[in-house]
Amino acid sequence: MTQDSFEPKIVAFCCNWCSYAGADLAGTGRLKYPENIRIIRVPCSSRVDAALVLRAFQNGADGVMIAGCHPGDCHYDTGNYHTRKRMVLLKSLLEFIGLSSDRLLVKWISGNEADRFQVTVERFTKELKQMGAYEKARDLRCAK
Amino acid sequence: MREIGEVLRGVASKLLNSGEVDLVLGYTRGESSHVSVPYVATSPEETGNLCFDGTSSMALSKYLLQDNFAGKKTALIVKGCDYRAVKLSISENRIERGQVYLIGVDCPGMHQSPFCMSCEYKSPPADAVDVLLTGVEAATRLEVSSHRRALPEIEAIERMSEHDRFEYWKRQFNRCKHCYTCRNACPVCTCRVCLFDRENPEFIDAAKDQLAQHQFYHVIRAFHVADRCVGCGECARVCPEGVPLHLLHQKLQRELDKFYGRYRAGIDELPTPLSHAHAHEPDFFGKVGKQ
Repeated sequence: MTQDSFEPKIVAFCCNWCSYAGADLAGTGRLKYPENIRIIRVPCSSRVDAALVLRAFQNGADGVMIAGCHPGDCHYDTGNYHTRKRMVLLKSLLEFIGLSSDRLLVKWISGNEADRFQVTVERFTKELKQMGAYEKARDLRCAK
Repeated sequence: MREIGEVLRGVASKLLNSGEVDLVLGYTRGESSHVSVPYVATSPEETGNLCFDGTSSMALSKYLLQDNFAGKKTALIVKGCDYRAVKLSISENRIERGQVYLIGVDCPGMHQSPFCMSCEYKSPPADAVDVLLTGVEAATRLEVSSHRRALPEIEAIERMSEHDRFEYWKRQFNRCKHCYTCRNACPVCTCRVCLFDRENPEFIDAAKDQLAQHQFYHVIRAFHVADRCVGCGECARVCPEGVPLHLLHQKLQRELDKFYGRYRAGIDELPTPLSHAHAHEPDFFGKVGKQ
């Protein structure tokens, strides 16, 4: 597969209250973002733990994006504080075992930031295109 | 000066004689002189089999969670790191303090543990245990240098390139046989139902050379004990394939210390760093409006 034709797969975990609404607004506002993204709606960004991220990578994701409310805006008050605490650890552990932590993106996107959602996805897709396909954490049984 | 095992047998026999405890959970000599295995003494006569030396490295507190120890007052032999695990279990309401009689021992250092060379916490605090055996001679005592940097391996791995780090851990992880001994030996890995004990888990099976599965297991396990690791080094010692698992746990501890201040599980009080989150903590993922 050449660099140009490579289309990365992105799994995006979007929190129900902010980021999913932001993505929704991007759709309503006809802001086009790359179709590389597969959105999974989660009740809160802190629902996403290391297992979900790793499983996404195993199953063929080239990048994982976790989007939640801005710190201070969490629907459950402290959910995204837990997210940032966990994810910074997960990123350093992935880095430590030689998996690229750049493929895990954590972003705060609120319900009215459709443009921010669009820009984030566009930028992440571009970065992943440059990084290429991700084979290091793949589960062989999932390969097509 | 008397040998520590002798003192220990005396204490244990007195405890059982007086009926203060029902069981004494300790170590006995295994197949050869450099192996000791867990041992439960139920009568004063049986305490003659107890021993303690540089091979008594197993953390015993996890046995107390088993049903057959329920309702029985148990005397438990604790080294410094074992006490940390016991304290954590007590504060997490897994063990009742009244249920255990703690016999603290001044640890001579265990022969095969990666941590003992730089251990700062060899014996439990005297006021926290019921009896502390100190001033007794152990057969051998590891020289502990306070100047020795703990686990220089972590820095060595951090200095590698990403490719080398990946290859290093691939070599290590691919030896893993999913025997789960590291989980079973870990004194703080105490969930009632373990994620990895599910029937037909879709993410893990006995197939070897499936690096992703190994990564999954070890990363998740490291996370589950991230802020609760007491640094006993049992995971690495018991691993039949010699995978340096303690490096993962200690790496996470260092990151936690760096970001959120020093926390030592089983020494400092609860809550553990990952069990709470606050607004004032550093945000590594950007501020409002910043792209």
